[in-house]
Amino acid sequence: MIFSSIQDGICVLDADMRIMLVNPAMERWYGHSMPLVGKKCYEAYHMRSSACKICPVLKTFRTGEADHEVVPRMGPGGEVAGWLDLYSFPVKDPASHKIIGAIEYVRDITERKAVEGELGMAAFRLATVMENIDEGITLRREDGRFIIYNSKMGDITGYTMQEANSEKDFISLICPDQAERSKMVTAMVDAATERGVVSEKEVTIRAKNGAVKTLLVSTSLMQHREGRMLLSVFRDISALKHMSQLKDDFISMVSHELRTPLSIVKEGVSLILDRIPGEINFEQENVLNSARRNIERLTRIIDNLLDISRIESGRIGIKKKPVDISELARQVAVSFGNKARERSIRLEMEFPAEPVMAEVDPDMVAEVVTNIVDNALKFTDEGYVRVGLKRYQGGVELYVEDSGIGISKEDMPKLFGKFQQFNRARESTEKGTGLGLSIAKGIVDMHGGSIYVESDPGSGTKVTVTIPVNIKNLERDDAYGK
Amino acid sequence: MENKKVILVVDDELDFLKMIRMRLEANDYMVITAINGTEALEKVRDYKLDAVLLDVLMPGLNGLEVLKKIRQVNKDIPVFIITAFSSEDRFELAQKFAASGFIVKTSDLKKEVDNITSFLRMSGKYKS
Repeated sequence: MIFSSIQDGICVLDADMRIMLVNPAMERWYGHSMPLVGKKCYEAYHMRSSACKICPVLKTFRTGEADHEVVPRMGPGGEVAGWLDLYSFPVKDPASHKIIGAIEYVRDITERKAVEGELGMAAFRLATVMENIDEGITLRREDGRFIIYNSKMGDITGYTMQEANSEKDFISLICPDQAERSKMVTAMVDAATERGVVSEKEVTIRAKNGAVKTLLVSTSLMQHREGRMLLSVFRDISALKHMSQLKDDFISMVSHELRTPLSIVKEGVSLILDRIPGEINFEQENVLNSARRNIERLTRIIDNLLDISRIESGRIGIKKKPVDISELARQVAVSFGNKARERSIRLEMEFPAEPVMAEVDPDMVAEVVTNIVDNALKFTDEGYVRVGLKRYQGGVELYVEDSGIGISKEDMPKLFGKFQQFNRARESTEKGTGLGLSIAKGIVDMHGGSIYVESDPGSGTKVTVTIPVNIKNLERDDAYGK
Repeated sequence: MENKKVILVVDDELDFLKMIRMRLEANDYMVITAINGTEALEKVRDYKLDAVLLDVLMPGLNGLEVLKKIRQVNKDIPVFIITAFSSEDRFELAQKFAASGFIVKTSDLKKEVDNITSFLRMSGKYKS
């Protein structure tokens, strides 16, 4: 009864490997309708004429000991249909202790093998990615112990996973600087407290060999049945930082070095134009005026270069204070009055009568308006340049509209790129630096705003800047509105 | 001649000194120059000055160090910082040492000198 109800296969063989007894489970696996009893096991199970070499029964007969092997389960067509865990136990004559047969105990492990195979493949894929990726990856339990610590992480810090785990406080070891350590910890706390949020921080660490490295660390919280864990990705941006620093230093140095001789040339020309060293004639004055204009242009290029380098490197600090942004923009527009008159262009203004208070960096916003209005005037031959400001829910919208030559579709995507001049500059106006709009965009970005351009080649361009504004500062103006 | 105001200009660029001297003299100032911090401090001690124009970037003692030392000897003399840039953090630093203003090298020096003149005229009025 037990023999026939058992789910694993059982088969009793005599000393010639002839099947003496077999249970239904074993019969089912092999799908034989014919009786198996009396056949040799290799004929019945493997359709062979001799014993299989890997058969554990053979070993049992040879050694007198139990044995075990994983063997293929053959299908009716001779194909591998599954896998069996095959145990063989010796059957001995109680009197002579001679081996008179064997019991085969067989468990079907086909499914287990398949799962193991998939798991193995998944583990292989994961390990391949983890060990070949160019970023340090760690998975850390709340008690600080690393469960995952890939070899790139070892390269970055110089510490192995064992060393990292044997340290009481690994973060303090790689971040001896208090401020840097707190950045790293903040990133982790942020990630731990706000589920689903990936917190990214730039952190400076000290590797085992003393090298100082800048890392971009992003951390997110993982929920696991064993507890919460922090998954961190460390990108070594030291080389990138170094290059960017070199570039900024270079631009800064060049600009400094260029400015002094430039200022001397400019003042020399100005002194002569002001007749301080003596009288000059009309032609001389004419030549010197051209020289001075171009010195001023060169100064602007250097100023812009330095501005863009500071904005890009984040070295420029934004100094926000509450100002009447409408009045600020209006004043900038007014300062272009002469230029517009000289070129017979109508300078139109659309500003609200009441003040519009906003917390911005006034110098920076003035520069944005200057650059955009300057562009509009430069590319308008007749008609108007309209500068205005509107309020909207949560911010202000500044716009500069012109009836100028417009921007072609092809040039639109390049508009905010550096040194873009689009061959549309004309002889009648002074040449730009090709940096104005990228500086404007940099400043608007720093204020959390956006800038966009609409243009119809031949009939004009409209540049719109939106800057989000603290509502509190606008409350006073709401009262005006009502 | 005796009524002329005396200005000390400190800069290590000789050509810049030449230009600013010409500009200041055209505005009726008497100009004394120094090409480094040490020389500047000597002249602050030796002359009765109405103002000092001081370059920030100089080899040896830099402008801010000189300004600090000038303030130890003379708290009241107006000192204008000469800089290559119009917007810099060192402005805040200079304010700590009570600089009276700034002269941006690349801007219009005629205007800058006019500003100094109005400043001295105003502060002169307050004193009298």
